[in-house]
Amino acid sequence: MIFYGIFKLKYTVKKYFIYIQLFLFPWIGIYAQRSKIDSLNNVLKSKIHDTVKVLTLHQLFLASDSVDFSLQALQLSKKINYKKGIAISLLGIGRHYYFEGQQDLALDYLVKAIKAAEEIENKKVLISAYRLIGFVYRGNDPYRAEDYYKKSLQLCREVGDEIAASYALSAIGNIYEGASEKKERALKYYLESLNIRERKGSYDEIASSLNETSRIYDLMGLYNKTILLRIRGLEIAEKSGSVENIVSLTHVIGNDYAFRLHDYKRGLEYQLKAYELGKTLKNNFDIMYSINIGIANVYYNLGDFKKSAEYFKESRHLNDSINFRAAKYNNNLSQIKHNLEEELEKQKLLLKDSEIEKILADTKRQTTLRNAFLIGFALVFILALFIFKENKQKQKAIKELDLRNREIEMAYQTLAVSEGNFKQITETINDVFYLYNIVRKKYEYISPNCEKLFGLKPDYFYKGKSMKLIVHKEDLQLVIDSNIKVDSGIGYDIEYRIWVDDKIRWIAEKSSPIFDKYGSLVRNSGICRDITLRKANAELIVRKNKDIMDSILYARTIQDAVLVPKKEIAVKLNDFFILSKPKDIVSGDFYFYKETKKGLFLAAADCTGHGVPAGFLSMIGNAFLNEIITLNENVTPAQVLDELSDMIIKSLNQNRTDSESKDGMDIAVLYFENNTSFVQYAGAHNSLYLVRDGELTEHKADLFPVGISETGAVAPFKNNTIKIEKGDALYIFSDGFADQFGGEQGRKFMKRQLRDLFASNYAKPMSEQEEILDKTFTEWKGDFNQVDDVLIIGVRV
Amino acid sequence: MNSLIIAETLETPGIDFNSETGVLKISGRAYSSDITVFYKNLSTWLDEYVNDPKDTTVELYLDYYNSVFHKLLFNFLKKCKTVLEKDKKLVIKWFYNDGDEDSIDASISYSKSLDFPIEKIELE
Repeated sequence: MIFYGIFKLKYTVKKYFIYIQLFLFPWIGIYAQRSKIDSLNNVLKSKIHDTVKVLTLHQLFLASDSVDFSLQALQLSKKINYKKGIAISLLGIGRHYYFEGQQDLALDYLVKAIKAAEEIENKKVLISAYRLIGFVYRGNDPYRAEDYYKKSLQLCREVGDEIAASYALSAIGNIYEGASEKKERALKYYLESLNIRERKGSYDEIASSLNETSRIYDLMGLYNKTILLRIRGLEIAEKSGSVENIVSLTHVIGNDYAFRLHDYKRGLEYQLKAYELGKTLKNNFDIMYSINIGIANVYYNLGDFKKSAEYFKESRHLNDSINFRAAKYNNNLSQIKHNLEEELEKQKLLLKDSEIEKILADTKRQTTLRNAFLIGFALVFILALFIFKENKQKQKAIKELDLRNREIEMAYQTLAVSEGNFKQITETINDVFYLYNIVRKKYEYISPNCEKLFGLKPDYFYKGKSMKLIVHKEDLQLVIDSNIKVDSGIGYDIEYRIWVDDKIRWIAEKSSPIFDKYGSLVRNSGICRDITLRKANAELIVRKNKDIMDSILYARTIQDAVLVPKKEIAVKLNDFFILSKPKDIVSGDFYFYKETKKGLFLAAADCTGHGVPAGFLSMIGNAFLNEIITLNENVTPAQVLDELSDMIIKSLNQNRTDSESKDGMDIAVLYFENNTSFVQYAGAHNSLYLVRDGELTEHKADLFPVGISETGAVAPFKNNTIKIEKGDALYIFSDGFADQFGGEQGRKFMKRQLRDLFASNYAKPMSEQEEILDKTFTEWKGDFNQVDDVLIIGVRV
Repeated sequence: MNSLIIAETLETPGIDFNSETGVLKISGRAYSSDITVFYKNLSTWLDEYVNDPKDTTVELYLDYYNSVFHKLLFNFLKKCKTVLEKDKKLVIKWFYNDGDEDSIDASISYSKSLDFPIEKIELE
């Protein structure tokens, strides 16, 4: 009982100082106490005044924590009417019951103690009694507790006992610490207490104050200050030479840096220091477990997962050995208990023997009795030791359990948060999310929006009913097939129609299988979305597209209509081809053919851009060309181009400086005069190729376009008159063919290849050449997109 | 000022204008018929650059460009020429694939219109 009492007292102190005092070696203290008790007992036996006796009994009580002494002191004090003695004894008994956990009894004695102390104005007793009553009320009525603490504090100040005041201050601070939103007030009291203790307190007292103050800073989020105080605590621990405290504080500071300030590097430094120093400690399993967890977390946050795993592994190992130790200890304990019981049995037998012999051998009996007493005492002593140790072990187990519980609680909290997030997501989006257990053939989760989307409550599906009833019959097979698919672990992504309120609704459903860690199929999760609007829009787009396409196709027929039909050209030119391959339906490239009285004009033109806009320009170009030649049949190709250029600049307002129009044409124009052996040619960017006897001659075009040029200057085009012979092949073209990317390396076809093509095939009939060119182009292009419109005209002289 | 880097897309060429070295590089293919935004980025940068230019080298690696881009390129080169007014050097290099006569023709045509020499460099 003696040791248990002391332990309890220590533990209460511990409550105010968690980190320091991990390792107490009570034995030394107990031996010291024992010798003190012995000497006090001696004093008691001597002939002394009763008041001294009372005080000695009180001292004995303080040293042993045995309430009997106090009760004796009380009796004696009452007998001799020693009021101070009464007060002190009552206080002592009250205190004893408080630590025993008998709050009512404690309160009873403490109130009596106060009455007695007030009578004689013993402030010292009052200070302690008020504080103790505060402790009693602390749990259930903190405000009342505060009143008593304050009374105690008031008296401390009156008598000028600053250390006692610091205890009252800390106690008041502790009340505010427990109340939310009163952290500042708690801090004020703690700081005041700290202030006193730093001047006058013991290392333990300073450390205790530093601890409680740093705790408050931590709660207030003032982590820098927390760390500052803990570093001061560390200094004190270093001064007092307590390696255990140095290790635990270094560890705690490491945690603060890492997980409060997110300064993982600094945190790691401290943790590693604690780790190294902690290794030198005996019985370091608990602290090393905690340090390893700390280091593992820091490394994890630093992204060094390998190291993190190493330390985590070590912590697991320590955890195992803590459990192992506990188990082993329990075994040992029961073994020792067993031995003790045997010993006691033997002792009993011994006692019986001695009873038989007691008449015969009086001296022997006395010796035996003394031995028995000594052994008995020793046994009680040992038993007490074990009870104490067991208690310590129990506390440790409770602490560990508490830690586990907190870990589990945190895990639950994290889980709850993510579950909350998940629910929030699934319940706010318009889509329906579900989780289906394939093994049990049951839905495990369906988001509530189900009713809105399918017109059926989730319960309908939870009950295992199928949605086949509402699926459009044309899509039913698709849905059934998909369900079969998912049962064999294949996900699906389908669109189908359902009937909701007699209306068709389009649903897009995407489902993926979920496998457990052994790779077997357990669930599938899916998401369903209403895509009715999207489907309607898609239909609209299809319809609009068709409208636009119809327009473009009609534009094409108009474009074709303005061109002279090839049949008509064939009347005059017996061997020719016109290869036209628009990039889009409407072309920006166009051919031009016009007969005059004396001959005929033939042109290959390429308008800026392609498609519909280029098509507009081609119509204008065609009309202008017609106009120019109709007005003056004697124009040369160069004059045609000059005039065309003028007309385009004027009609498109390109002469205005603010004009945005960059449009124009590249073109090659030929003029064949009847009954001559000459062809006239002029070109804007587009050259003329002439092949004779397999030899290709290039007649270069002018390097500027029809329409506005970059410089804005209008240069006259050059007219070329070229001698031709029977059998010559002439080619004019746009740049679309040569610019086409393709082939094996995705490069441009280029003019050189085009020339080779002309030179090697020129002798073949023009229609055959057209086929070859067409085929070559298609093959070259392969999977590449067509770059531009393509136009090639070939004529045989 | 910062350098201007625009990644090459299917429709527009890549831009790599280095304000430190004064090397302005355009490379790739230009198909897009609507390059207003593209050109805006380019010309805004260039306007700032020519205020305080370095010795400048323009490097053109153009595989294909349409007539819309043709005009844009001319305006660009014309603006580049203004670095001469700030007593800085200008070199224009036109890289072309082996046998690409259109590119050669184009470089000649640009050179004439700009009234400034353009180095023609054949690529392997």
